Amino acid sequence: MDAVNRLDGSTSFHFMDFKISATVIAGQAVIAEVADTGGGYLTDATTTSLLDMVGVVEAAAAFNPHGGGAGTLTYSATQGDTEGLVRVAVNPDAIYRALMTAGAAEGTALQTVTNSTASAAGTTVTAADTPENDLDDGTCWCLSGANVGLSRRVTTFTANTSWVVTVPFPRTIAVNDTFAVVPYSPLVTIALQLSTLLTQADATIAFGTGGTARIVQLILAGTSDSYVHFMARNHVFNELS
Amino acid sequence: MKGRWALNLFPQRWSGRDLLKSRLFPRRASTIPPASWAGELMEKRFRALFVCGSCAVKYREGLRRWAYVRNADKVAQGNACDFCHAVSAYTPIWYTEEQRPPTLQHLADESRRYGIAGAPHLYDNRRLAWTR
Repeated sequence: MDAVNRLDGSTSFHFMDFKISATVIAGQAVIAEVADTGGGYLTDATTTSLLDMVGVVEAAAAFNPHGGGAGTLTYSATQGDTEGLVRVAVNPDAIYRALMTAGAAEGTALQTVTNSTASAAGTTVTAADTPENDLDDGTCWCLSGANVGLSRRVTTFTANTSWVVTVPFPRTIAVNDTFAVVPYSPLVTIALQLSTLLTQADATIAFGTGGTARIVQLILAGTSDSYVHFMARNHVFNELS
Repeated sequence: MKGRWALNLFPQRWSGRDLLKSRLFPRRASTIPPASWAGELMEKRFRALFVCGSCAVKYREGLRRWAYVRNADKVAQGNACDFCHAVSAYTPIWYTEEQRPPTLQHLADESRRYGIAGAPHLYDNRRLAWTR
């Protein structure tokens, strides 16, 4: 996950270096540490909460101002240990880009749904294995078939049965055409759930589930290289939600 | 440097080039340790370093050695250079080679091919073959 640009289209970010209260890795989401248990200012977000989001870790290292010595990327109450340093872009209007993954584990390919009933009107995708969670108001796109590369907003979703789009795909949805469907729609989706390491987006959860985020854009390629761009709805410096 | 001989650490005569060089690359003060903390960060694979233009030239060997590359677009606004601590309005960001973020060109290409934006028909990838 990365801060890729800002709402005004620029790519200039203001960065701040913070002390940490948790073990962090580059590319993960971090929030303000309200409690004083960790002795730092930043801590891990959770998979389902982005309250007081500060940003995404641009870089992290064990920082020893005196030079030398092994470092740690978590806080330590031991005298003489090095101090964790985390660099984060703190702009509240930053747009973050996260790889979509199928489930809590990172790097899992999204489910490919194979259509089982032809739809001449181009509005219905039918399959016995449409995802369990409610993806109504999400977005589906065609992976193979006459509509390949095209996407539509889902307006009716029935788990393990079918989903319907209001704006038809331009060509017939044939049997064995394949699709992917995710719970994200630009401007519409207000939540995003993170993967276990907090570096990717879990695209299998029900629409509207997860931490406070607003979807900005979707990059719908294949099942393992599609991205969601989002903004924090509850940024620590701009709590507007 | 002209006008120097053994054991004389200070030049006798300064050419314009010497003056320019001393301005651009001032010697390390005795209060500053020879191993900079930026060097330590590079050693620890700190992902993003802010490097001003002068320091990018001065420390080019180290940056190359530790495989840091400048992102074409992403810049730090109002941050200090990690080497010389000079603050500029915009400072380029150098990333570890293995963890580079995408450039704007990469994002635009990706968006043109697969993205959803205000005019979806513009993003039908089959109609945009001529742009590739």
